[in-house]
Amino acid sequence: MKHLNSEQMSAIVAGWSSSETEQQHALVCRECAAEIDHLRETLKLFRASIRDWSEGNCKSAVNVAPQSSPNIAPDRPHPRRVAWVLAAAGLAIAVAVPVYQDVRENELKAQEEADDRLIESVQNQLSRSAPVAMQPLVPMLIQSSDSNPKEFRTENGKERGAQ
Amino acid sequence: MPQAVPARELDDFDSVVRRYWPRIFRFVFASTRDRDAAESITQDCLWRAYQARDGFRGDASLNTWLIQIAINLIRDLKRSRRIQFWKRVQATVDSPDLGAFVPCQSMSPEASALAREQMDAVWAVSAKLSDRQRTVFLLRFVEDMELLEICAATGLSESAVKVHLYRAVHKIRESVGALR
Repeated sequence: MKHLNSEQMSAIVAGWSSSETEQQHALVCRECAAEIDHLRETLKLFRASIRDWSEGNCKSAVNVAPQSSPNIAPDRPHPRRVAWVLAAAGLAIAVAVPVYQDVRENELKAQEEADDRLIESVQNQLSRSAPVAMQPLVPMLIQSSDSNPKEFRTENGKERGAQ
Repeated sequence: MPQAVPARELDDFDSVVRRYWPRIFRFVFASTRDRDAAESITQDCLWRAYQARDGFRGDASLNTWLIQIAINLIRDLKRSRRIQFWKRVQATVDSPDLGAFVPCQSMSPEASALAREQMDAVWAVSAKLSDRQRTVFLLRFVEDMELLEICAATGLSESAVKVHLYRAVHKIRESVGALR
């Protein structure tokens, strides 16, 4: 008796065999029947194992599914898009913060310089021995103060000649 | 087996996600053996299905249509450079131990050990199958899909699907037969 070949057995196991002769042989021949049963059992076990295995790994995914499914709604952004937007925002912040700090530091530095100039000019004004209008007379006053230092006083009343 | 779903039912996408996520995930997971890729592809698959829901005519079942999208995404992933990276990673990392998931509560210790050994063998052989052989094999023996559904999902002819399945089963039979 000619046994079923691998292709015929596969067809029977898959349930796709259309040949009555082959199916009849699978029922009559103990050797082929045992082979087919063993293959069926193995594949059934394989299916059960894969399902158990994927269910164990799918738990978090299934738990996520009801929450993630609203993301699929058209008015909600896709998680990947959200990730891209967040990444772009992070990058923009990473670039913008140093630039802002740099600009801010420059502004502060300019402000400080302006303040320094103002203070210096005020100091110059204060340190003048005479008002601007009287500057032409200063040499004469100095000559006079040299002869009598204690009599020379600045415009704000402080004694300068003694210094 | 899920029946053809009118496109209108796709509007209730929450229930579609709840119902089909585990199936798509299982198929992609068994195909890629990569949990992260499986989650990503499953999500992408459902997202694309939602986007293309107006084009779904219901000629095939929703399950078949989703599997078809998933197959294309798996193919894209494998073509990408990323999968080259994952192949290198998988080459150095042991694949999941399927034998640990064999439901063998009612088996004797010897039968249980043999079953685990066989599952590991089947799992190892399925990794060595060509992509088409593995896809057809998983769709038939894990997802219980019929011949015409597999043809619709894979885009292969009936004879091509049969040949791929026969070759896959032949290789598995050889490996399992050696353990008997």
